[in-house]
Amino acid sequence: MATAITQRLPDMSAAVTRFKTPAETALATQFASRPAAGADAERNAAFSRIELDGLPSRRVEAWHYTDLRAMMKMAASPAPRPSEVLSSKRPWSLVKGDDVFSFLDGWLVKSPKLPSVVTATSFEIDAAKVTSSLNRAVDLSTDPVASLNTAFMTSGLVIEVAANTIVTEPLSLAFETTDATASYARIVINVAAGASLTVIETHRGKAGAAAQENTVVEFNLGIGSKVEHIRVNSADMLSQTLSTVSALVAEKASFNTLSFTTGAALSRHQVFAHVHGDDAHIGVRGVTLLRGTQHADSTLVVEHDALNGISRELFKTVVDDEARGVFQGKIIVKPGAQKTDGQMASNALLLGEHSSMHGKPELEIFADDVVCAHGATVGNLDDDLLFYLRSRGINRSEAEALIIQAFAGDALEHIAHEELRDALLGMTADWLKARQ
Amino acid sequence: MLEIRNLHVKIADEDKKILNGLNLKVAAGEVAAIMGPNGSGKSTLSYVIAGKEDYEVLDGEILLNGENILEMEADARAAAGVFLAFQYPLEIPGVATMTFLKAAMNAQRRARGEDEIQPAAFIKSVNGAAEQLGISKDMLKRALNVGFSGGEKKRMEILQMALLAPKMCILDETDSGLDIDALRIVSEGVNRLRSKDRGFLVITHYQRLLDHIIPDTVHVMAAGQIVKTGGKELALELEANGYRDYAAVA
Repeated sequence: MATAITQRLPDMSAAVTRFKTPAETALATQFASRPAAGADAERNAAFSRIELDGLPSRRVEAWHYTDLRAMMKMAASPAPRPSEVLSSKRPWSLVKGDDVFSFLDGWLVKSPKLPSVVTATSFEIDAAKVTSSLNRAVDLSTDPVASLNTAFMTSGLVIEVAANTIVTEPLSLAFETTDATASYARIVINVAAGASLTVIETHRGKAGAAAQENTVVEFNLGIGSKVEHIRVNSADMLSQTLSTVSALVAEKASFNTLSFTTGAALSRHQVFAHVHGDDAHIGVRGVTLLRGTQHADSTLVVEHDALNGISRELFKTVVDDEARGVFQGKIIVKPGAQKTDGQMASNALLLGEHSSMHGKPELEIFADDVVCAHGATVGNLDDDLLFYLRSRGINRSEAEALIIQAFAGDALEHIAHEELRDALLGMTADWLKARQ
Repeated sequence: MLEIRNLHVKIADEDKKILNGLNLKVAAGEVAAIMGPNGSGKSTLSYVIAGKEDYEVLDGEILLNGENILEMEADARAAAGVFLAFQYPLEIPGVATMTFLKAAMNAQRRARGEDEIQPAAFIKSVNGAAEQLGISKDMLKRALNVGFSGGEKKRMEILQMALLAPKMCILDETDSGLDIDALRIVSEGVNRLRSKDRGFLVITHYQRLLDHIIPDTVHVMAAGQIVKTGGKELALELEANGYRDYAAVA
């Protein structure tokens, strides 16, 4: 049964009564009984916001293709702090020599020995520091997914890299889920001026457990710093994942993020990145490989608010069976952000008769001396190309695999870390093998 | 080597008939040229032999060394020894040329029950064949045919032909878009592959290719049939008189 909440808006004399949706009712119940983890003021503020605004319906443009209310109606209870310590087995890792933070059901359970130039502060160490670091990259307080994360966050972790240092080994954030519970991890990564860092974020879960993840990773890049962030979603096929990456990119800094998604029944990946200083570079890319009845949404907003900014957005989506892909991308060029160069493309390859893709690229330009372009293509495998390969003796499935691998490779080839790039090419090949 | 009997073909999704009872024989070691006006069905013939799916064979047989290949998929025909050098070779962005060459060679080997080629032997044979065709190492590193000139694409076709060592080579207007130098390089590449065990079907509009690749036989094709067969001198006659006489025959 729906519950009514009444609020009095300051500029209106009439009381507005809004009925809570079942999803909102479910969340309110869970919020009241959430596990204790500190930062109550921030949580309460975030949850009040959700209660005030309500979860977006599909009539809200940004949520037209992905039904957050439906996702949250089935919202699982937040995972309790894991009682068992992770086995000594090294967590899943894509490269050799990385320093791994292990998360179990959203709780940080193991931190690596870090190089001296990197420090990590968790909730347990300094809750005030963690909470004061939130939403500084980009204000996420109006985003419903990030607000849910703030309200329920289980782990909070701030990672800082000292100025002018090159962190040679990647930092990995390895998320594992073990149960049909909800996990809410929040990470802030501050990279000081002139520093450089590779971050690998991996998500996977126990087979058959319908886990729900909501992860937020915020990046603050100092002047001239460089960050490559690779996110791999290999969550179990029954799970649903919400993820948000935000980045504030200072002068001459370079931020590249790529999401590689093969997992989850239902996923939404959001990127909010701001070119904040002159001559900065942002790359937002994605490779999404879908089958069965998977639904994957990639939504991004790249805002240029400085001179000579360059941004590159490239999303490659391969959709098989009855799966559905969504791309919503927007480049905003603020007044005065002259000489901005933004190029956005979403390309989808539909393999199944009932596969579908929804693409919505947008440009909002308020400066007059910019070069911006966007394009969205949706197509099937090219029969002529297939015939060419087959006429050389390559069989149909291998020919299809070559073409699909090349299609995804277009985005993957931008990964600077070679071993990581090869790992994702390998995962693409594995996905294709499973298809045959 | 290749024998085509009473071949009737139409476009799969249309009622348009292209080949009308075509008969043709190419013996092992023979270089046969097919000449004919636009729209006579030359390219269709090459596609049908190679196994393109856009066509429907209404009647007839295509025998390769006595075996009817019409029921075979395109890749099985390639493994059986059919090679088509395309008039317009396709660009495959993202697929490195070397990756493609290796995939093709190994696919054919596997289909024939042979072991895959050793990496060292593969690189040696590619480099050797590439050098003869003036294909640079840089070209081999790039994505297949992407950014290649018309001449470079045709040389890449001949490189594939050399590496795959087919029994029956079909060249579909290999001379189109080639300047004189490229025509010479490509022709020399083809001539090097001539052997008593290999048949060639050279499809062309113009006689000039046949100055470089001297045919044993010349067939004239019009309205989906072979309407005249002769020796290499027939090509010269066509060059002088055009195709007008044959359009009437068909």
